[in-house]
Amino acid sequence: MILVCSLLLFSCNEEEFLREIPLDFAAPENSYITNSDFEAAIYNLHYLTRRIFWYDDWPWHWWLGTDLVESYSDIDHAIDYRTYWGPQGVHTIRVWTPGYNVIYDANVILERSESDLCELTADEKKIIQAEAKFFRGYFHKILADLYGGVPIVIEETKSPKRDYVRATRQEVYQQCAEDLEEAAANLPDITAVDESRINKLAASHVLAEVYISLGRWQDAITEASKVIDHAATALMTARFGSTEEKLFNDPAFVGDVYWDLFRHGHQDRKIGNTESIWVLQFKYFEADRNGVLGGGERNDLALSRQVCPDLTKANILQSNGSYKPVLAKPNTYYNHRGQGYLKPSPYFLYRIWEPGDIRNAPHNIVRDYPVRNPGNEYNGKWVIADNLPLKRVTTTDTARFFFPGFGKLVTPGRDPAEYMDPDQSIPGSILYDSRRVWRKNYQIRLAETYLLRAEAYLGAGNVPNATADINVVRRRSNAPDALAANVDMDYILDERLRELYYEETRIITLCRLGKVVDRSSRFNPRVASTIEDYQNLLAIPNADILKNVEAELEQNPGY
Amino acid sequence: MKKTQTKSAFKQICCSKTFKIMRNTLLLLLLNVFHIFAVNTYSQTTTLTLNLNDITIKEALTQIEEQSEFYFLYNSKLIDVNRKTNLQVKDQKIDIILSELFDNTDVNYMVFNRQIILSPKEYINSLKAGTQQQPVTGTVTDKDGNPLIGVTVMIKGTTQGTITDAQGSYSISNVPENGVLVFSYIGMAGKEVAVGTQTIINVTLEEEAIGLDELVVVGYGRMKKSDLTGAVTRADVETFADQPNISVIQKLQGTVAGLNVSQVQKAGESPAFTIRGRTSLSGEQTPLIILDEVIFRGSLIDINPADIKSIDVLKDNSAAAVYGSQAANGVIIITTKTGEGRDKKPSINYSSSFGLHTPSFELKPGSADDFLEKNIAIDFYNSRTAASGYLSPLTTYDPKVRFKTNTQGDNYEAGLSTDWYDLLTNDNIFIQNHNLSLASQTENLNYMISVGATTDQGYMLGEDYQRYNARVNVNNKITDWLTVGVQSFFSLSDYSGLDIDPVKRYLMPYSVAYDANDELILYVGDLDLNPMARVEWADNTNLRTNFFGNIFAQVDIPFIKGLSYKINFHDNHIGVRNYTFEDYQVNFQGKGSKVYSNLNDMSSDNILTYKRAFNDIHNVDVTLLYGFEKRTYDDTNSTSSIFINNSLGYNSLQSGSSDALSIITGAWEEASLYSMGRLFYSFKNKYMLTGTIRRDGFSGFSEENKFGVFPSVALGWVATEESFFPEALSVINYMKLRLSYGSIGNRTIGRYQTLAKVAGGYKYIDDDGNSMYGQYINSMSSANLKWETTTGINLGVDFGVLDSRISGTIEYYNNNTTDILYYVDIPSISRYTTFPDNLGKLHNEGIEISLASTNMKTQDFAWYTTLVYSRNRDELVELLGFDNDGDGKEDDLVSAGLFIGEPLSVNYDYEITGEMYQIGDVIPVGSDVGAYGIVDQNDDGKIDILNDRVILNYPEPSYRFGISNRLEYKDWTFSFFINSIQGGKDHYFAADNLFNRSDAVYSFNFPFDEQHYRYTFPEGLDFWLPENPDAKYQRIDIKASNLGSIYTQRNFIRLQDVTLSYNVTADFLKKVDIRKLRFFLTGKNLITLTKWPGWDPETGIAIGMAGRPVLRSYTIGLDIEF
Repeated sequence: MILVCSLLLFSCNEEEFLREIPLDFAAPENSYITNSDFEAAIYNLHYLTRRIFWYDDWPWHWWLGTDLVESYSDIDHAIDYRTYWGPQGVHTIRVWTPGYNVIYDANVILERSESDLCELTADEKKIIQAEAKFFRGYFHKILADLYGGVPIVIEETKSPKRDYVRATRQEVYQQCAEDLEEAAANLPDITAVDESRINKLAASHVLAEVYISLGRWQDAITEASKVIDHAATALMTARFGSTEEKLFNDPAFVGDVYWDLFRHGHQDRKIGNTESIWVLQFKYFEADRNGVLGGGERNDLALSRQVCPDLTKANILQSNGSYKPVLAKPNTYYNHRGQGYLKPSPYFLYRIWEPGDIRNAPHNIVRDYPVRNPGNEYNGKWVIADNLPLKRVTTTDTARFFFPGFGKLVTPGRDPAEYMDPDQSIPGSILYDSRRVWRKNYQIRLAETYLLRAEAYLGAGNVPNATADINVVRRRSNAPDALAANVDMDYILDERLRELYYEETRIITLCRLGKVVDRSSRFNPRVASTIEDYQNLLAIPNADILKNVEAELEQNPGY
Repeated sequence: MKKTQTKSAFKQICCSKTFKIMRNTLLLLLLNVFHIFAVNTYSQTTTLTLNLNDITIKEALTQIEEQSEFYFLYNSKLIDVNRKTNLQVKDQKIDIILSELFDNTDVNYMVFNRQIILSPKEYINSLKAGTQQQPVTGTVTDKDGNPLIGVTVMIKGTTQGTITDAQGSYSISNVPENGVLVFSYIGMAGKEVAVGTQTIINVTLEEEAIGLDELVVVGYGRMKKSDLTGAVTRADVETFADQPNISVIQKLQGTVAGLNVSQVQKAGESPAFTIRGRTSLSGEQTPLIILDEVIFRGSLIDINPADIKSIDVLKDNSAAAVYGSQAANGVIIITTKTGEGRDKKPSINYSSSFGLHTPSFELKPGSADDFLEKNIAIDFYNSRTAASGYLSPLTTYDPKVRFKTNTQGDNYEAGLSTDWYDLLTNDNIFIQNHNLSLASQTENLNYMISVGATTDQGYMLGEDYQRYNARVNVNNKITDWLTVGVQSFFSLSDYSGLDIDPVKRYLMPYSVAYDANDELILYVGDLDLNPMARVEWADNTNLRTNFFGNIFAQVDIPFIKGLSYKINFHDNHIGVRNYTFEDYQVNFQGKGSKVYSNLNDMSSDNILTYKRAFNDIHNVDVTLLYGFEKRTYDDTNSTSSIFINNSLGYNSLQSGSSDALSIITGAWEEASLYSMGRLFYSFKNKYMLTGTIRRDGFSGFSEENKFGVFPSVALGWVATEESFFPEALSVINYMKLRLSYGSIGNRTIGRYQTLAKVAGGYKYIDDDGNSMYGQYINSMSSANLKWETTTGINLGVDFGVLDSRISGTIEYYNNNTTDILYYVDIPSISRYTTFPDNLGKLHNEGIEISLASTNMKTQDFAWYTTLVYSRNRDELVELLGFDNDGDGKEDDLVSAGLFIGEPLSVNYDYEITGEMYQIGDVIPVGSDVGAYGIVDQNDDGKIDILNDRVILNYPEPSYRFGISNRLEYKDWTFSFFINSIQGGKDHYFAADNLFNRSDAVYSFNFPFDEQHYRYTFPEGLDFWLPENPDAKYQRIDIKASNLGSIYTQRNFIRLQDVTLSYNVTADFLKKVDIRKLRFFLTGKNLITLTKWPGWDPETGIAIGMAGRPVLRSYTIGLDIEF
């Protein structure tokens, strides 16, 4: 054997012997060739996007500090927004880096689909590139909304680059417009594409928003109109889908069309929902606890957890002087597994509503709960209606344990079997790690397109048309018509709160419009105490300023 | 080379001809020794032709040695070798030649195959003529109890004496009552014993402290210590042999200057260790391990310490240069025991020890009441009235408000609690060891067979470790020119059983572990699985097997004297099997996994050596090497959950839900090729030179840069050999100066970095809910990666003073590393946050001192002290090479904490003012009540990380020292070792806080969550509260983005090892036919003096939840040989 080995050794060619052959991964050179290669690359963009908007504690970042959410967890030592949105804050880097990740991955697709090795047909290439450009434009837009002018990256980074400089915000939006125009031109029609993918109208919607930022009002109106006027889109005005989900497991429960929009399975166009423009896909696989099959991940869309109150801690004083909680255990028919991290602002809860508006119906904004705890002497009674002696001693009692919950953030009875508590003596009891909303989520819903077009009309000085668009949305919810005299940017922002609460990424909208400081300081006093005038933009993360050693990446003023 | 392969008992004597110049050793052999060499075939078959005129006897002997394989042993003081003679013989056997030379002289000769011993005739006669008036008998052994053969035993002041036989026994007659016996033996310190009325005198001889003739393994060969030109240290394996350490490297902690070994905290864990300072940024820091001449990339844990004969540490570039690649971090050469040095009769050795361990320092939590009190206090905004300045309690405050679940509240009200710390830590922590070995040497064959078993019960519950070892080492001399052998071992490491995260020790007490029926409760918090479920319910098998085999063949080329060829082929296979089934997971539907991995290292070396001495003046040793290494790895990880039937566990993963089945596989391979040439030349044993050049190829580098060439040269000069060595310095009996310069490479940033990678998996779904594959590029290619090179100088002085009563070595080194392999930070705009590259320059220098002293030595009592000291400094000289701020100095890479002109590791942080913000103070942006004030370095009125951080101090030690003392009284030996690491003025600082930024989850203070309400704290933590405004630590639940930290030095002095051992006297043993019987008692980590408040200064872990104590241990053991 020794001899054989030594013979082998001496006879081998050094270069051959030291050639490096990957065994368990592919190289880019042979991974971006066929249409299915590129489809896989496109699906990765969708995956990243879902991850950015849903994963774990992301919802905090979209809402905290805005006019929608008053506090995080414990209001007595509230977050200091100068640092929370500052260059060291947890928020800023968590939007910045993942956003650029999507842009890089899109650039890889765009560049490699032009290579000689690529085997895409002209049609395939057109669609793949259009979808990649959509994502590149979309994330440049989000970055420009949040940070102002940011570095524009439109090439695959192939070697270390440390000399990024900021473009102007205008230049970034201009780049977005170019990408999105091409996307809108080349993407398939909404009726011709899998609902998990981007369609023409989604691109038009985002493009309209970019045109608004560029002050191109008419272009914005035109683009938004393409979405609104499309034969396959319309606001849902009548009840639809299954009526299986019943709040409080009440057999007599009756919802409404706004409630229907947020039920499990109801976001699909194929069941007749004509309001869906772009829906981030979700399906629970048993394997998702290991996170491998693509449906989502363990912490996906923890909406109820973040926003709904923790009724298992809301205590009622008993006649013997002890306290017993409203809920003995988290319950799928109630507030799901609310942890009460993000308490809604009083402005949103109490000041923006008019009578009749179904979006504020008791099942959509749930302001009272019946006690469901056999050990509680008030079991079955309603906390507010029956004026139970609710403990409201510490701020935590009211900021975390008892405040209104939201019908659109729960999917009663939809928890998979393995998340149900084995002990069902209280029906609907769920385990503590059931922390998702078990439905898909709208990334773009037609109602928002109306409100965008209203913005564009307002910008163009056409208040009546703006009012008309707003009223289309309001009428569906049985809200009284808005009066043209009252319609201004603040009204539109209020309407967005009413229609899109816990749905739109509020901070992006407010940054885009430069309204963060104004709205927060007027409507969210707790935030106002630590917010500064310069905070209509987030800070550029210090981490990248420090690493960009070959050029200066300028910080936003004030930080 | 071939002569060094000769027989055992004379290893110390025969290894080299140079022994004959030893001045102060008498050498004689008694006839009964000769039986060993009954077969004198060589002497009876070899014939020589000589034609010598007018030459000295010495020259004649040299001629014979050069023409044949004969070699002579004699003492030049007793034999007149300068006598002139003539010699003409043709085809005569050696007997005839010797009689020509020595007949009619007073020289007696004896031939044992190739070995010829010359002695004065009268001396022999005097030995033979002894009378029986007062015979004294006894045995002479080394300190392991091995018999020493051929030890000269003389009656002081006479020429009367004898030599020990194969059993180490001697008998000497006519000893006067006031006589003193003098025992002497090459390489051993002599010993004198007053006879008195004793008739049995057993003696143990110690190796001479300086051990210049000791053979040191230098890589692809051995060298006498006196010939060394590089910085090579032989570790003292013996002194620390009795310590209950799982890994051999742990025994060396603190004992070899420049070898830095860190603490082990977990059962079955191998400690991290480095040699000298850091020479690399992202590259491997761990030294290369050579096991029995081949590269060993397994875990040191798998090598049974009991099998190890010696450990040599190659520290400087010239010494390590033979290993080129990866040797930049130094080389540790481990040689295992063989049958060599034993006699024909097989010896059986059994040793066993049992060590009981206790934590040397603990941060134990307080009672359940303390927990509650702490929670209420840190929740002062809610629990106290604002009007009182948060000092008076709010009577309506319910402490349960901070509990996570209602069950916890119920438990609190029912008075139920669990002491998790006590529950989750082992009450009996121990290490138990059994080793059994068999060794023997016959003329052509020597072997060593051993088996061992070790049990290590760790600190945390479920943390037990078992190891089983077996080893076979065989060396077979097949013919005069061919030797074939094998070194092989098998080890099985059993880590079965799931561990418990130490953090769980601090779970809140009202999360109760067991219900009223003593059944385990699954969820103890909201999402917290009961950690006890991992111990009581989980089924886990976790085994690592290591098969090592090295086969070699050595051919002594018959026609050219001194030329030999050796080939070895080595294969090391490490297999890991880790199976887990947790039936309680996924709502009791079960979760299982099976993980297999295989790592195979294969290498082969072809070594050609030419070693010859010419006229005792020129010594040449040439080594040429060509070899390759190939490593392959593959793994399979299958998991499943939601089982239809739990009963088959991990052996039927297919019983899990098809949706939940997942299989992930991986593999890699890497290869290297190397060739090396080394020339050693010495002149009159006074001037030495070693030149080495090595060429290394590694698959992981780019096409153009696969090969690196690393040359080095080293010089040695024994100054005391010079006639002009000043008389005034005669107190110095030995002094050697060494100088080396050379370069070596580091490759270990890893494989496949020159290639961009595409990763993928099922990541999304289409609108029908089908899983869709997604892929993306997950690393950039670094197309130009090449060897990192460390070049440097080493200056060494070896000396002996007062007849080597004090001896020592001083080393100074100065290295520069260029083309540093580094994952350099890049802005995340590029998608990646780091990029592997070659850049920059790192400077590294240090000094090492080792001293050994024989403080006192009398017949019954001896006291030895050794001291090691080392100091290392590094400095980052260059990095990216930009100067954008235009200050004429290269810019720092602040994001990575790297500063030009500063040490590699710095504590770059805010400087705290010493004040803390109190309630009512104006709190700056980014700070909070109860936080330390921070110095505004640039006085711009705000604190930010871009402008207000400074280099406060340095985390690396300033210097390390260790002092070892050994006291011997008759058969008792007592030794103790003190180890210390010191920071001097600016060094060895670490953050001392409750909020650890890099490890926030394991902090007692975990902002932006309520973690600190859900865990208990150690007793007596001095943190800020409204009523404790001058606390040491900041407020718990502090919500600040700019947090300063206290930095405290980790200086410590530790009584690390204490050993007491007793050798049962030989005369007793003889009666029961036992060669050796020894008992020992050791203590480890008995006392640690430090001001560091955290877990252990050496681990550097502050007051955090994840910290583990360093264990204090007491061990008893025995060592017996038949």
